[in-house]
Amino acid sequence: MAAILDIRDLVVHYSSDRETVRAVNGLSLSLERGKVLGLVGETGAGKTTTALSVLDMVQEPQGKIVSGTILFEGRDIRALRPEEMREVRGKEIAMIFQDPMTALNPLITVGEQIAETVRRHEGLPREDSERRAGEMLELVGIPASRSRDYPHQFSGGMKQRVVIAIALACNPKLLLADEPTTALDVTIQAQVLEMMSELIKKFGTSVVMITHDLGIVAENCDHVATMYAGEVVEYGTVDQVFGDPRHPYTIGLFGSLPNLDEESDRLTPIPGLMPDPTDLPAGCFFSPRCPRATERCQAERPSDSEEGGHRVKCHLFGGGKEEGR
Amino acid sequence: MSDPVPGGGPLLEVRDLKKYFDVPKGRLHAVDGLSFSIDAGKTLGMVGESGCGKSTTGRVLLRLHEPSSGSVRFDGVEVTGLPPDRLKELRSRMQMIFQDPYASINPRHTVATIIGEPLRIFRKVKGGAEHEAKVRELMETVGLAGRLYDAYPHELDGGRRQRIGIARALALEPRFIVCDEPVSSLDVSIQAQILNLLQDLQERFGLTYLFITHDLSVVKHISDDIAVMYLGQLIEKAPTRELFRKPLHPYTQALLSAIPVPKAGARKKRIILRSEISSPIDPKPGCRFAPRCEFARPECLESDPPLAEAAPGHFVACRRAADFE
Amino acid sequence: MRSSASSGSKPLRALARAGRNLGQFWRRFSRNKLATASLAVVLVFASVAALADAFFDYGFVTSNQLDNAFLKPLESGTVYEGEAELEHRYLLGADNYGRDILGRIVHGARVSMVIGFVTVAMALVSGGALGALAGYKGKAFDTIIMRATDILLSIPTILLSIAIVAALGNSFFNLLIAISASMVPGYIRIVRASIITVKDQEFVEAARCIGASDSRIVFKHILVNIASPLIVQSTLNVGSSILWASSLSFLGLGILPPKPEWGNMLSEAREFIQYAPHTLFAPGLAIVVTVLAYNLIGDGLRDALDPKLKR
Repeated sequence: MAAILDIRDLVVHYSSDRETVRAVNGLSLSLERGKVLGLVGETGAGKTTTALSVLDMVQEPQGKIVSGTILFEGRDIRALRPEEMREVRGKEIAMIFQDPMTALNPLITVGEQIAETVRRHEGLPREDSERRAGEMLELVGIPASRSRDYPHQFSGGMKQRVVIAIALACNPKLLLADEPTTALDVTIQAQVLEMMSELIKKFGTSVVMITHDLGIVAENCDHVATMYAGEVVEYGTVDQVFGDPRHPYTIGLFGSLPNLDEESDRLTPIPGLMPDPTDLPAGCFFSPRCPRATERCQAERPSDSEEGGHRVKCHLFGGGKEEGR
Repeated sequence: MSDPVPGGGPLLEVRDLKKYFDVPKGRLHAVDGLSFSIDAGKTLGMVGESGCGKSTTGRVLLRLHEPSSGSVRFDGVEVTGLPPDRLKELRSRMQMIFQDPYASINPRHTVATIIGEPLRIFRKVKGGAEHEAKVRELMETVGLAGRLYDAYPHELDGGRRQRIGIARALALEPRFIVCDEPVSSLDVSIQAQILNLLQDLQERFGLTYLFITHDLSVVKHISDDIAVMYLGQLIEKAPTRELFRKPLHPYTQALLSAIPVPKAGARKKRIILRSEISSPIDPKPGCRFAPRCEFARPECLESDPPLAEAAPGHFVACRRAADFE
Repeated sequence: MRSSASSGSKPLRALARAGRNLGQFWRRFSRNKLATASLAVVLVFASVAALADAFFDYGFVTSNQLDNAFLKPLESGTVYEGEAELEHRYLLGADNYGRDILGRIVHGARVSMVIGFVTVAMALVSGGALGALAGYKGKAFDTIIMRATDILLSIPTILLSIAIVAALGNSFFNLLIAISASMVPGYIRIVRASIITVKDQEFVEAARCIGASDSRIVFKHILVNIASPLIVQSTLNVGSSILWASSLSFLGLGILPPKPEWGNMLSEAREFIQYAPHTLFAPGLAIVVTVLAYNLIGDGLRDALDPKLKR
C-alpha cells in the first residue's frame, strides 16, 4: 500500500550564534494511508520538530531543515512554493497542539473559528461554513447551539474537542496530533481519545500521534516509532514493539513505567540523562546510557536492521540475526 | 461518624478538614470535610483529577493555607491554630516536595544556597565548614554530583532540579513529607529514578509520605493506602491492592478503567463518564459525583453519602456501593 | 562541562562564581555596541564630574568676567582673579557674564550626576518599600498605597514639583525631593506588580515551608528576582531625573545662577539665541548626550539581564 507520508533522512538543526542544536538527525518514517502511527519519546527527542517539519513550519531563522525529503502523497513538501504549502496546511494536513488553552483565539467564537478554516480552504459561503461548524461541533460531542460561545466558556476537555473539530473541519488526509490529551485529566482523556478514534475511523484520516504515554500508543495506534535524540530507534507494529521490544532504550522505557497489573517493588529506570543535543555522543546516541553498549557502539553509528517490518537501530541486531538476545 | 482508620499510632490525623475560598461567584469548597490518618512510616496516596482539592489538602496540612475548620493532629499536636513560633518548629518536622521543579526553586540561587537555606533558618549547624559538609551530604543523599554545588538551577534538567527540592525538604530531617505531584512534570525514565529515590529515602529515614498525584500507576507503585478525592471530598479509601482489585465507588471504577495500558492488545472495557466535573463553587447537597454517575438514584441527590466501611479497611462514600458487591 | 571546582576555599569560590556571572553578563551587554559606547560616555562624564575642581576652579566658573562676555569658542580673553590678570582660552566660548562655558558644563555635570543618582536612590528606596508593602501584604495596605499612588499620578508632574518646591522652599535638598516624588509612583507600581507575580510562585511557598520569615522571603527570594526590571528602570530614571532637574532649573525652580547647572545655563542663554547661539548649544548638547546615553544603557541592560533573551 502506498504511504501517505514518507520521511527520508530528515535532519533539522536549530542554530544560534554560539551553538547548534541537532534536533532531528537522519529520521526516516513512513505512514500508510488510514493508519495511526504513534511517535513516542521523551522531552527533547525531536517529536514535535518532526511534526513541524512535515508542515514546513520549523521556526526560521534559527531552525532549518538541513537535509532529507518529506513526501506527502508522493509530493515533495520541501519543493512546494509557500502559497502551495499554505493550501496543504490545514486542508490536507492538520495539526492539533498540546495545549488547548492557547490554541484557540480567545476573542472569536468557537463556531466562527471552525467556519473560518472551512471558508478559507473550501471557499464555502458564510451560511454553509457556519452550518459545517455546527455539524463539526456535534461530531466532537458539543451541542451546535454552543457555536456562539467563546473559548473561555469551555472547560479544558471541551476546548480540546473544539481544537479537534477545527483540525478535522476540512477533512484532512493527514492529522498530526501533538500530545493531544496530555493536558487533560484521565477520565476526560478517555472521552477525548474515544471520540477521536471514532472520527478518525469515520473519515479514514491517517494520523501521526505524538505522545510520551506508551499506554495511549498501545490502545490507539497501529504502528509505533520510538524516538531518541532525533532518530527513530525502533519501529514496528504495536504488537511487535510492545510484545517484543528490542532496542535497549525501548526496553528501558518499559522498565521505567510503574506496572498496573504486577506488583513490583522497584522500577528499573534508564540511568543517566538525555544527551545534550548540542553535543551528541559519538557512535550510537544511546550508548552512554545503554547497559549493553560495547566499544563498537561508542565508535560507530548503528544502521537499521529489519525483520518482518520490525526495524531496530542497534548494533546488537546488526549482522547476525538475534545475535544479541 | 465512623472512624475511617482503626488501629493505633497514626502520625497524622485529619478530622473534618475544610478549606473554603471566597471567590467572586460564591464560595469555593476546595476541601470539604476530609477525614483520614496516616500511620508512621507509611505512604498514603491521594488521587483525583484537577480541581478535586488534593493539592489544597497538602498545603492546608502544612498550614501554607489556613484551614477554614477542622482538625489536623501531627504527632499528637494540634496543628491548626498553632502560634507562629511553634509553627516554625513544626515545619522542621513536616516538609513538602513540590510539583514543578522549575517553579519551586529560586532561579537566582545556587544549588548550595537552596539546599542550605533551611539549615540557615533553623541554625542547625555551626560554622561554614560544617554547613558545607552538611549540604554536600544532602546532595549525596539525593544523588546530586558534588560539582553542582555552585551551579544555578537553569543549568540543570528537571530531574536534577527535583532532587534539589527533595534535598531541601530533607535538610531539617522531617518525619513527614507531603509529595505534591513530585514526578508529574518529569519524563518517564527520570520519573522512575525519582520514584526509586523517594522509596529509598523512606526506607532509610523512616519517612511518612502523603503522595498526591493524578497518575494512578504511580500511586499504585508507591502507596500503602490510597485515598480517592472528588470535588473536595474523600470518596474511597482502601489499601492499595484492595482498591485496585475491587474499586467500589463508580468514580474510582471509571478512573481505573480510564488508564491506558501500555500493552499490545490490552485495550480493556472502558467506562466513559458523561460530561465533566461540576463546579466546586457552592455545590448542591447530595453526592457530588451523582450528575455523572450511571447508577445515580434520586436518593443520591438528597444528602452527602457518608464514608462507610464496606470491607475491613475499605471505606467508600456511596449509597449504592453495597449493590455492586 | 562547568569548571566550578569542588576544591578551594569558600570565599574564593564565591568570588569565582561572581566573576563567572559578571563575565557572562558583560558578554551579553557588550554585544550591544550603542549601549557600550553610552556606558563609556557616562563613565567619562562621571569622572569629569568627580574631578571637576581639578579642571576648573569653582570660584572661576561662577565669577563674572564681563569683558569676555560672548567670546566665541577657542577665543582667548583676560581674566581677573583678585589682583592677578591671566590670559585664558575659552574652549567653548563664554556666556553673557563672560564665564567659561566648558567650566560651567563640567561643574554642572557634577550637579547633574548628584541629582540623577540621589533622586533615583531616594525614589527607589521609598517607592520600593511602599510597593513591596502593597504587593506582599495586600489587602488594606494595597488599597491605601495604590489609591494614594493614583492620586499622585493624577497630578501633572510639573505641577507637583512646582508645588513641592513652592511649599518647602527653593533649596537643593527640596529640589531632590520634588524630583524623586515624581518617580516614586513608578517604582511603587513596578515593585508591586513584580512582587505580585513572584510571590505566588512555588519557590516562595517552598521558602515558607522551610520556615522562612516574611522579611527573609522578601529580601532573599523576591527582591533578587525583581532586581532586573528595577535596575533597568533606575538607569532610565537617572536620565529623566537629570532632564527633569534641568527643566526645573530652566523654569527658575531648581539650581539658580550663578551656580552652574545645565538647565539654568540654557535658561540664561535663551535670550541670546540669535546673537550667541554657542552659549545655548553647549549645555543643550550636554543634556541630550547624557540623557540619551542613560536611555541606551537602560535598553542594553534590559536585553543583557533578561534570561529569556539569552542566546
